[in-house]
Amino acid sequence: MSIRRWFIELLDTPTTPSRRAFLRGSAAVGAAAALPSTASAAIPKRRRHWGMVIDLDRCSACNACGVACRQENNIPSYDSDPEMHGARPEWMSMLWQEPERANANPELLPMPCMHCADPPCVKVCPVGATYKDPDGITMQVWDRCIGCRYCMVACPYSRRSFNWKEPAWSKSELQMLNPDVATRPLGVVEKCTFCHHRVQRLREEAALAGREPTDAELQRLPACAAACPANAITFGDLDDDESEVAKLASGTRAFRLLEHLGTEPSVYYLKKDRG
Amino acid sequence: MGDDHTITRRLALAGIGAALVPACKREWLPPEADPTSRSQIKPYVPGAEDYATYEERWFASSCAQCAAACGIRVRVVEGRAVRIEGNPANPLNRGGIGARGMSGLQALYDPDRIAGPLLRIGGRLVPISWDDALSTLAKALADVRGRAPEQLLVISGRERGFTHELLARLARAFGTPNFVDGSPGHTAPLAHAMEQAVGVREAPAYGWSHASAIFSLEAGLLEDSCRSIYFARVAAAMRRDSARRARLIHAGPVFDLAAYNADRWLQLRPGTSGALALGVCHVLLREGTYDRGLVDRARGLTEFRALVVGFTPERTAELTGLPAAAIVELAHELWDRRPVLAVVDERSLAFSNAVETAGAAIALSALLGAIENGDGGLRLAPEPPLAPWPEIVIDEVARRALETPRLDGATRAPYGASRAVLDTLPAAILARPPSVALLYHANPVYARAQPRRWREALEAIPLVVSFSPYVDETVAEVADLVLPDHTYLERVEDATPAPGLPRAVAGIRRPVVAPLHDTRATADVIIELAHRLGKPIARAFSWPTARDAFEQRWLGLHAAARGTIVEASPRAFLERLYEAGFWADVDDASPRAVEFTFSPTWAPPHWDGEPARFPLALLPYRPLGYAEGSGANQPWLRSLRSRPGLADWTVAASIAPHDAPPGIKDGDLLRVISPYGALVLPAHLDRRMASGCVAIPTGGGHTAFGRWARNVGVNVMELLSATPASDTGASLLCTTRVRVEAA
Repeated sequence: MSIRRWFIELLDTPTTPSRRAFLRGSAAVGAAAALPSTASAAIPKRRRHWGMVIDLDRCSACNACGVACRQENNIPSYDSDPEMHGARPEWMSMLWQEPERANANPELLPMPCMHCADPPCVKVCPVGATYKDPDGITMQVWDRCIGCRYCMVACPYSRRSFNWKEPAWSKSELQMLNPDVATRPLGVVEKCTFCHHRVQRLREEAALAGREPTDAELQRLPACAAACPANAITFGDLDDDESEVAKLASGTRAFRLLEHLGTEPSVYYLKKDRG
Repeated sequence: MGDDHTITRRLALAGIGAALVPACKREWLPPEADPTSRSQIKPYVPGAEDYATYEERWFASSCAQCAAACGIRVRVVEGRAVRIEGNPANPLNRGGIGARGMSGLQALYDPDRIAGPLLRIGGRLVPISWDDALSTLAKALADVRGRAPEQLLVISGRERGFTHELLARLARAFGTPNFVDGSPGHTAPLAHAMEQAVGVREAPAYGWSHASAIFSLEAGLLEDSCRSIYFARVAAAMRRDSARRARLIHAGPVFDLAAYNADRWLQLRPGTSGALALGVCHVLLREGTYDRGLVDRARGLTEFRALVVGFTPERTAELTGLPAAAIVELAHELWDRRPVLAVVDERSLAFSNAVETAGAAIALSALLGAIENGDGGLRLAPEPPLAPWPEIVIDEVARRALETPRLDGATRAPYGASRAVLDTLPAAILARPPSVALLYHANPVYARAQPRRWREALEAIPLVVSFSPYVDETVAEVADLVLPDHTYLERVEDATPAPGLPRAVAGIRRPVVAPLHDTRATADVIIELAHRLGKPIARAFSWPTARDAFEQRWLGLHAAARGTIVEASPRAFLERLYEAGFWADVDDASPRAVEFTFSPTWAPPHWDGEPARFPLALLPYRPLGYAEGSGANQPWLRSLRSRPGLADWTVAASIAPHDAPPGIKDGDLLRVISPYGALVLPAHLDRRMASGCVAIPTGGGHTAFGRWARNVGVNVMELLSATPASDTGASLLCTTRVRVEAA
């Protein structure tokens, strides 16, 4: 078995309720104690295909998703230095697209990582720092990344960012960092994780209750979807025909970006409906 | 702290083992088990000792980043606030939240906050104790009251809220008529137009249950308006969740987010949306397609008809720059889609004809039958049933002083319909400087037109007191005494939303973390000051703390015995209120019968600066996120593009390519010159801009306000004319002409 394969399988080991979940209130601890010791390992983790649908007809380009992402994922602002314009990490941001026809409307697209089923970035990583999680998330291991940035070149959606500077959090700003997400050092590439830690946490909590997360719990799970005032972003399991995200993704307004490249993105857009 | 108990629980949860714990004293513990030794790995946080390791708690509260006051939930881990989310239970935002709301964490953890009270000694601000600060101020105030109470000037940047009201109460009990309020998003013209039309001096709310179109009259609908989060939700729901997809029609000069989102964008000349509304009224009246129930009973209809006769599609086309056919078509579409939400906001009302524009929009709503209609349209903003505070007993000294004329000239001609006028103050202060000025949520040395005038004026006041938690320009340059406020995540406060939702909501704010610094809630400082001033002022402030004062009003909600929280005992009610973060009526207010009055007038927008020398209209705008500059210390907001197509962290002048000096390319430096000043900033060539306009965002060019705000862009306020609106006295952003040159 290659080291890479081994590593991926290691990450994919069914989760036991973590110490974190254990500590979360006495009720949860009580529930865990009631489970047989093997129960959590025995719950088969259902394979998922996590996906997202962004309804452009609901979206008003308010940018709440981008700020929610910065808040949740400890994305640094660096400083106000003009040379950093355009070089700050952004996992979820508004893409401004000028129309090809002169009088047509431009488009603003909220763009997270597309979490392609066949991701070009994974193929080029020489150290296995980026890999495809079995549930469809394109993950990045910050500690493995050597900063070669091949993945940034390969990604047709430009959804990867490089840390050109050491994040300069003041002592005061350090306090607001989300303890669930590791910060990234100088010289590594970072990207959207579909708020993997939130998915993981929900699964742990559901596992303690001996069940799988429900579609209702998943729909607004990532930070961007939770914040959206227009309910434009829906998350869920694309393989579950009953899920909201699968229903929306199979609708007539659905499309994906650069579909002809064969990357099979897991992010669908619903086109604007200019009434 | 009660050592033994808290340590017991903490250690048990931290997995140290219960056996170790009973009767343990902290000094007996190994260093890694000492809770305060956490500072070895992470910075110590005030309040962390109440938390177990890894423990998280969620608190419901209300946002204070703009006047909308959305419901929020704050995630606090080990005493650190790490996440702000929308509160799904709150009927205003239903779990959604804007970029500003989430950036509240950066308002709290701004590294350049003021750590405690400051006093200017020899030109430098030096720390002093709260006791010294308060006694200094109390002594100065007692002296002023003994001589002439009207020598106290109070400026509040807020328009509502209990702290704002406490400040007004202090001014009244003290005896000064010089209480000047009004935020930059002054809603005075809209409130005035509502008063003329339906007799209620308040901005309207918007009902939308069966409406199938939103007609925005130059409104900053989905961008700078404090209702943008409400409208983002409403517009999405009206488009996708109703049987008939609603249309968003926007009339405005620039390609902003409202124009981007619109199904139909009518690009008109700036400040002419009132004319467009009257043009639509003309078509509706001519064709007899209007709501007869409301209109035929209304007062002033004859005069209104006489005015509207002149607004033929052809004349309206001349005024607005739109084709005549588009105006007729618009009228037909609005009639077909009624009820319609016709929306005006601070951006529509930034011109000298603000009252006329607001009046025209309200008249159009009346013709379309969209006023106090259960299906959708303008609603009278419902008030939550808060209990009043006891009346103030005013002594003879105060009574006499209250009758002296106001410094700002408000309530008298030519500002007869005003409550306060900010822009006349600098000249008035320089002519007769007051002795003491209190500034609450006000940074006029940066945020008002011609900030230099304000600096000179405030420098003429012997004692300038600011309550700002940040070293803003006013603090850095002119304040003599700084009594820093808590941020909204550290204090108890009310959060009554600005009108928008047709349902009564009373939000509250509660501390979610222990105060980071030696700051105090301004409401408590006001009460403490009143107590120190003694009778008769202290009698108007009979509460020991601000919280007691606030709870007295909230108990009115308890007494109403309706809405989302109904409890038998007041204590239980308040507990649930703190837990929920808001009280709301169960349903939207039922429609009230209104008597409608048409008060027709029309005036084109007035511009300062001769057209020959200054050919372009300057349109300053409050960009997405950091508004008039109060969010500029929050880097997340700075990272938003202020207009589609602009870079982040950029303050640029948007201009149509044919209006730019020859040879100028995107990003080249422009010099923008007005009769009042000149600025150099990059050009943003935008082929969608209306001809003859330059748009520049507010919020740039801070010289203080912390590391994130300083030295980013230029401050457009330096270019502006400081002529307030006649009658309402509102501050106007769009009244100045400029010219541009290559720099």
